[in-house]
Amino acid sequence: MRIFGRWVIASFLILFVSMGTYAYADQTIKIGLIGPMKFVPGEHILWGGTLAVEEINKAGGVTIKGKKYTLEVAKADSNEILSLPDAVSAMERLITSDKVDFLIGGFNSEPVLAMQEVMAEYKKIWLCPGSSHVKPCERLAENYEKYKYFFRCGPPNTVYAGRIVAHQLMMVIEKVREELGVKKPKVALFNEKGLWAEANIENAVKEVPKEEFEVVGQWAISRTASDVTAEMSAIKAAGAHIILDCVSGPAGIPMARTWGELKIPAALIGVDIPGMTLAHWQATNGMCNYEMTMQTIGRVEITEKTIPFYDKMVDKTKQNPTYIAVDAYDAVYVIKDAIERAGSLDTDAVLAALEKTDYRGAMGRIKFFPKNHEWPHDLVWGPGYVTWVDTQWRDGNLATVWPDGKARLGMKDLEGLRYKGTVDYRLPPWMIEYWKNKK
Amino acid sequence: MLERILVNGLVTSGTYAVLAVGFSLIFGVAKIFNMAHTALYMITAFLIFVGTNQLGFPYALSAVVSVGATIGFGLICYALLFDRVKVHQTAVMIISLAVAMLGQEILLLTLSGHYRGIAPFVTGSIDILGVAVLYQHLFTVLGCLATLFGLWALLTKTNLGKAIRAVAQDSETANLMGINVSRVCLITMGISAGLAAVAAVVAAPLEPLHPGMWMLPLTMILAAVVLGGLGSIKGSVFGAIILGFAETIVVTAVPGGSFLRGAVSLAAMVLVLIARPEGLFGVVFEEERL
Repeated sequence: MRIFGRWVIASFLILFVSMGTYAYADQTIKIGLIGPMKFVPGEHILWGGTLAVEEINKAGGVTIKGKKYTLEVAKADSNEILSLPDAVSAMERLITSDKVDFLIGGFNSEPVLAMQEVMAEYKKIWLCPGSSHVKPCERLAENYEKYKYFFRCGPPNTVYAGRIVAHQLMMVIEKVREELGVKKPKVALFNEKGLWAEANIENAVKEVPKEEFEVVGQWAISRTASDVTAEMSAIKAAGAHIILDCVSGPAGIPMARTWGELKIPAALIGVDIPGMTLAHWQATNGMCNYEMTMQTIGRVEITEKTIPFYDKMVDKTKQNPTYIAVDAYDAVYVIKDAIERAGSLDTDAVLAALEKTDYRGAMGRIKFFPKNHEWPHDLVWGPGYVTWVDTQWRDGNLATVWPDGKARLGMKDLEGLRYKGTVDYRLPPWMIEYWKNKK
Repeated sequence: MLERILVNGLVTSGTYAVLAVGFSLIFGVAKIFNMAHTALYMITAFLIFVGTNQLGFPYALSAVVSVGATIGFGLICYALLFDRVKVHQTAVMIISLAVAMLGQEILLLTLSGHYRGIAPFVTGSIDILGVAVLYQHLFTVLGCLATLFGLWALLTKTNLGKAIRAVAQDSETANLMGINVSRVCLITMGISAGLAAVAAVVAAPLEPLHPGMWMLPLTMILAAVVLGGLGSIKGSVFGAIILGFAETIVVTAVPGGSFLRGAVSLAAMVLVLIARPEGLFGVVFEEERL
C-alpha cells in the first residue's frame, strides 16, 4: 500500500511538471501564411515563411521581456488566382478560427484590396509579400486609421518596378548600340492586359528619354494566351531590336518558347513572372536562354543573408526562391524584430515598432515609408535599401546582371553598385548574327 | 502582312477544327453537349507530360498510352454518367461541366498549378512565304489535316461511318433498320474523346500546361460549333477556320488589341448568328446532319 502511495505521489509530480512544461510551450506566436497554395506564389510564401519560422525557433524563438516564445505557422489557401471570395474567406478563417497573431501573404492586387477590409475589421497586422500595385498603400494615405495594419514587404510597386525596368531597358539599349552599331534601337512593347502590367510598361517607357529609342508597336495579349506566334512574327516584321515584356500568367511560357525557337532577333527583357523560376527552363525546353527578367534576389551577395537563404531554399525545395519567397522569409524576421523591440504582443505597440523598422534582410535593407508619405508602409526602394535585381537565363541558370555598377537615368547613387557574383548582360548570339548579316 | 495572316491563321484554325469536330460529332449523334470535351484534351496533355517528363518515356509511347487512356476515360464517363441522363440535355451539360471541374481540381491537387511544358518533338523553323514557321506548328497543321481527312474517310467510306450518320439523322429509324444505336453512340463517344486526345498530341507541345487550360479552347470551340451550326461537322471546320483567321487578323492588324482576339472572334460569331440563327451550315432538316 505504501508503495502504491509513492507511485501516486510520483505520478502527481510528473503531471505537475508536465503541466508546467505545457504552460511554457503554450507561449507561442501564431503566424498566418496565406496565399494561393496550389500555385507557385502560394508555395513560395509557405516555403519562405516556414523556413524563417524554423530558423527562428531553432535559434531560441522570439524574446519578449526575457520570456521565450515559439513561432507557429497556420497556413491558408487563398485560392485567389481562381476565386476572389475564397481569398476573403481564407483570411477570415485564419483570424477567427486559427486565431493567428500576425498575417503574412497575399499575391494579386485585386484580392489583396478585398482582404484589406477583413484585416481592417479585425485590426490584425498584415505584411504582404505580393501585390505590386500602389493602391493598397494609397489607401493608408486616404484612411490611415482604418488600414494602418497593412505593410507591403513585397516586390517594387508599379512605379519603382517601372523604374527598374527602365534601367534594364537603358542597359540593353547601350548594349545594342555598342555591339550592333544601332543608334536608336527599335523597341516592341509586349504586355498582358492588366492594371499592373500596363502601368509597369507605361512607367518604364516614360523614364527613358524618347531620343534613346523608338517604339515600333505595343502588343497587349490576354493573360492566358497560349499561342503568341502571330505576335512574335509581327514583332520580327516590325524590325524590333528589343522586346520589352510584362507578363505574369501562363503566356510567359509560349512567349519565351516561341521567341527562342523562331530565333526572333530581338533581346527579350522586362518582367516575366513564370520566367523567374527554374521550372521555366524545362517548360520552355531551354528556349528561354538569354531572356532577362526582374527579380527580388539572385544568387549574389546583396547582403550576407542572401546566398545562405538562396541555397537553403534550393536544397529544401529544388526550386530557386522567387521574389515572394524571400519577401515572406524577410517578413517573418521583420515581425520578430518588431515584437522584440516593442517588448509586447500588443497590436499598437508592434505596429509602432514596425513603422520604425530598419532591418537588414536577405533582400536588402528593409524600411517602410512613414504615414505622411504618398504610399505609407510601402518598402523604401533604392541603392542602400532594397534595389531588386535583373536576372538573365544562361544555360539553365539564372545569372544576375543588374545592378551592373553603372549609373543611368540620373540615378548617380547606382554608380559602383554591383553585388558580388553579378555578371555582364549578353545579347542573344542569333540576334547579333542576324543584324550583322543584315548590314 | 497577308502571308503572316495566312500561315498563322492556318495554325490556329487547325487545332480548333479538330477539337470542334469532336465536340460536334458526339452532339450530332448522341445529343450530348459535352462541356468536358476540352478537359479530355487537357487530361491527354498532362498524361503526355507525366509520361515524357516524369517517367522518361519517349513522346510517341506517351502519346499512344495517353490517347488510349483518354478514350477509356471518355467511354467510362459516357457509360456511367452521360448515357443515363442523355435525354435531359441540360443535365448532361451540367454533369459534363462538373467532370471538367473535377478534372481541374484533381490536377491541382496532384500536380499543383505550376505552368509546365512538353518538349516539342521537332524543333527549329522553316520560312514559308517569308514567314518563319515552327516545324512543330507545321506538324500540328499536318496532323490536324490528316485527322480531319481520316474522320471524313471513316464517316463516308465505312459501314461504321454510315451507321454513325444514320443515327445522327434519325436514331429511331436507324434502330428500326437494325443499327445498335447505343453501341454506335458509345463508339462515337470514343471517337470524339480520341479526337480531343489527338488534338493534344499534336498541339500540346505548343501550349503552357496548367489546370485551367481547358477553359479558353472550350469557349472557342463552342463559338466555332455554334457559328458553323450545331451538329454539323462541315460547319464546325468552317467555324474553326473563320475564328482562327479572325483571331490572327486581329493580332496582326491591331497589335495593341491582340488581347481582344477572343472577343473579336466571338463578336464575329454573334454577327453571323444574327443573320443566320441556325449557323452557317445549321441543320434545318435532320437529314442534313453530318
